[in-house]
Amino acid sequence: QEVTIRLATVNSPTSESFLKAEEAAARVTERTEGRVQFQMFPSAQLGSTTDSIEQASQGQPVMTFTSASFLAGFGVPELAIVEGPFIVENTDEAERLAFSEIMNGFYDQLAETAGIRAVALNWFDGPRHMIGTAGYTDPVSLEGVRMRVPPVETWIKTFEPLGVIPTTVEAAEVYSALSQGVVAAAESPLTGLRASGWQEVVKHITLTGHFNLFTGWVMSEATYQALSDEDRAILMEEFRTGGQELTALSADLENEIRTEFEAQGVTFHEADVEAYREKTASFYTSFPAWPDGLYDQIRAAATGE
Amino acid sequence: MIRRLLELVGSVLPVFLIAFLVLVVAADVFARNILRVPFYAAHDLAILAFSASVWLGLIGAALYGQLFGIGFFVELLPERLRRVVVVLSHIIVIIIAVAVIQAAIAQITTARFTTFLALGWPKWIVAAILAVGMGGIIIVQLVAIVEIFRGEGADA
Amino acid sequence: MILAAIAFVVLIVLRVPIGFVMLGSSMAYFSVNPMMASIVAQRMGSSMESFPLLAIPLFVVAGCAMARGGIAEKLYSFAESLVGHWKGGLAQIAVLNSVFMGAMSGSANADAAIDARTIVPVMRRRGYSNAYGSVISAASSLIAPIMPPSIALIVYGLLTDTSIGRLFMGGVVPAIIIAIALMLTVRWTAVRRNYAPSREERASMGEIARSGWIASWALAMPVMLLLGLRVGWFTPTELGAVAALYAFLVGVFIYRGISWRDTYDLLRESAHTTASVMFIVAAAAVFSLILSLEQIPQMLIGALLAISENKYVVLLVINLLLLVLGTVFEGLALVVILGPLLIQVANALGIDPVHLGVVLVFNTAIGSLTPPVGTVMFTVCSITRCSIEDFTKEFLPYLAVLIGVLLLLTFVPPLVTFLPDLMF
Ligand code: NA
Ligand code: NA
Repeated sequence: QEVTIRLATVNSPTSESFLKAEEAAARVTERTEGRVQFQMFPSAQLGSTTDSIEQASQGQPVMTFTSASFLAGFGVPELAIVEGPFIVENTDEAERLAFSEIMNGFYDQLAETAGIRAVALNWFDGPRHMIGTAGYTDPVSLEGVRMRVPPVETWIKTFEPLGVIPTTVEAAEVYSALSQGVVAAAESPLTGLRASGWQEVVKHITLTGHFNLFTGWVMSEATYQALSDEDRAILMEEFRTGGQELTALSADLENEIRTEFEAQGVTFHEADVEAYREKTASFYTSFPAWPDGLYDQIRAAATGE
Repeated sequence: MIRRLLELVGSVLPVFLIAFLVLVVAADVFARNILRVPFYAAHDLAILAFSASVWLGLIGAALYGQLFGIGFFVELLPERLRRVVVVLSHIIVIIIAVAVIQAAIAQITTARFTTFLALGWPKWIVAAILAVGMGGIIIVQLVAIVEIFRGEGADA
Repeated sequence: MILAAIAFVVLIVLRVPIGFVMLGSSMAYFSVNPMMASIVAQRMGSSMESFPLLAIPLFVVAGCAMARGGIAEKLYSFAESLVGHWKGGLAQIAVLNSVFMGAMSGSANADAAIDARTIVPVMRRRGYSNAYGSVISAASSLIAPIMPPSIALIVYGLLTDTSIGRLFMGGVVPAIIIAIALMLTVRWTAVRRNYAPSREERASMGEIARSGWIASWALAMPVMLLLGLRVGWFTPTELGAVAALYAFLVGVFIYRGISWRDTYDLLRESAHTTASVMFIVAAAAVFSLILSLEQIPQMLIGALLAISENKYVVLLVINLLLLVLGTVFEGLALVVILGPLLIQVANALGIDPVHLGVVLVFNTAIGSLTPPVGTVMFTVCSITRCSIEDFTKEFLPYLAVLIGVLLLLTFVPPLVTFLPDLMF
């Protein structure tokens, strides 16, 4: 059974996640002796992330780059919890959680309700930090700060308790918005910052590491089921490996980027993570759709205890 | 009667939608700078009003002859043939509009999960309004064809 | 692919509206290469979700409110008192105001919408032809996507990891060159057409002061908007809404020129203009999917690298190719699809990414003025009711000049890169 999968992402063809995906795809094609081939569609050529998830959900042979909380909207609200503030300590915990039994249960549920198969949600591109006109070591200093926050539930429920004035700014306008002061702060992983160049206009980065997004690849369940057991295993394995490689690469890049930014006059601030954790704890009690005890189950799965 | 209905859907509604769009964007600026509170839904409301005003306003634009075409080649034709071509082009638009309606219905029935993030409303609303807009376009084309056969086809 | 091309040509010849031409030929393509049944509706719907596109209706409304509320009239009377004794003075103003508008809005569509609604009616009254005014509004709007802040340059920067600060600096000199080139062309065409100066001699200081005083509420508008933008009250997109509201309120309460009936009419006009332009943008989103699905961009890159190792030869080929693609594809869509791939060619040949970015954005911006498909052309023509044929005839000398500037920027990279190299 031969298949050509359309691999879609809104990221650019020079982004690390896309380059790693190209490598993973090539390994799959090689190991399946050409039974599984790929066509590449970077830069949103097949449409937005939502568009390509819908295409996959309709049974089109599409594989796309997305994240767990985004998928929560497709009938599995529990998935949003893994993108809560400070839920994992480090990427080892994140990796363990991504392939845990409880998460696998959610993935199966996703396949059933929405026709989407999670291939590997372990493509961690580094923790997200805050960037702005000042350092925000203590969450108190965020009070009244206009911050760029996407109008997404997980962001809103994290940043409202921090006392910021959340402001919606489209990705393409953030650079101007920061330089003119429409917003004073934004948040992003360091690798993302290097691409978007926000550090050119605001010079303080606070290493909060508030989110660790469970980004990665999902595909059409129908296409997935049409593969042989052997090919499925190869596909899952290689994209998991790709994720691990990206995670390692992002960690390596962080130091490099930090040096590079410091040379550009950026000041790095450590964050009082405990204070941040405390102030955002209400996040975990604010989703009525979650069953009781979900937080403890997730923590147990992450720590492997 | 038909014209008044088309005017209502293709002009009056879009007028309110456009006014709403301006006010909602301005209100967001006001909320952020003066009241210092977030207005999450502003973005979604603006996009929704924008799409709706486009799909419906298209009916009005068609009614007032504001849809762009390249008339250069048609104008080279003799009068009788030109009429045939004009009717043909109206029929082609109807066919394409029907196909868009089919696609919109497919979108409404299959895209069950995507929502406007801040509003929580399903996105198929946009597809539904698109279908209405295309329905209006079909009626405008039919009216135009009827007028041509009545010998009122001044636009040919 | 071939079927889609044939459908495109046949439908164009039959005078099917452009939006439907693109939808029809896309459907012809999908009938041979099936996608999901809802693909057309999905693409059309999500193409509306881009926030920068909201600038179009907002600035269209702002332009209508300025025109009907009296602000435009007073602004241009004042400007006329300054340069009315020049040949083609009003047309020169139309170019100059785009330098200032460009420094605020960053979108050619937004600038063209304002110009077409405000200055073209005044030009018509002073004896300029409708097509001439339309072309000036459209051509001068090309300054906006090059002058910082520019939406297209930001999009390019995000997709190619190029410093946006450097890109912005790279746009400054080219924007000024474009403005000067256009002003010279305006002078030349105005002389040839014998467009007399609107007044015999230079206005006296007293006259200038008087018309300036009358226009004070109007003159305050750009000042306040620029101020609001610089201190961060609103983004360039939001500026459209603030401008619309300001022009409307001044029209109602200060100049008392707008009645309920006028309000309805200006909004209806705005709605129809927005709809006819945005429908084409939505159809273009479906149409450009064909490029992607056929993997044209990837093939293109391989072909380009095979042509020559001389970067100027390759740049020339890229420019010609983009000008051709620009006639039928939407400018920003080309930047998004081709930008990240062309940057690979640039890296391989040692072309500065800032240089490529400015050239790419300017080139695709020219495409938004060329028939058969060009959103800026449609925005202007929809507002001024100018036919595409008349517009095209009048546009030819400007097209020649714009391509000349494009080639100049292509072959003399320091014009683009000098300033960013100096500042960074
Ligand atoms: Na202008
Ligand atoms: Na064009």
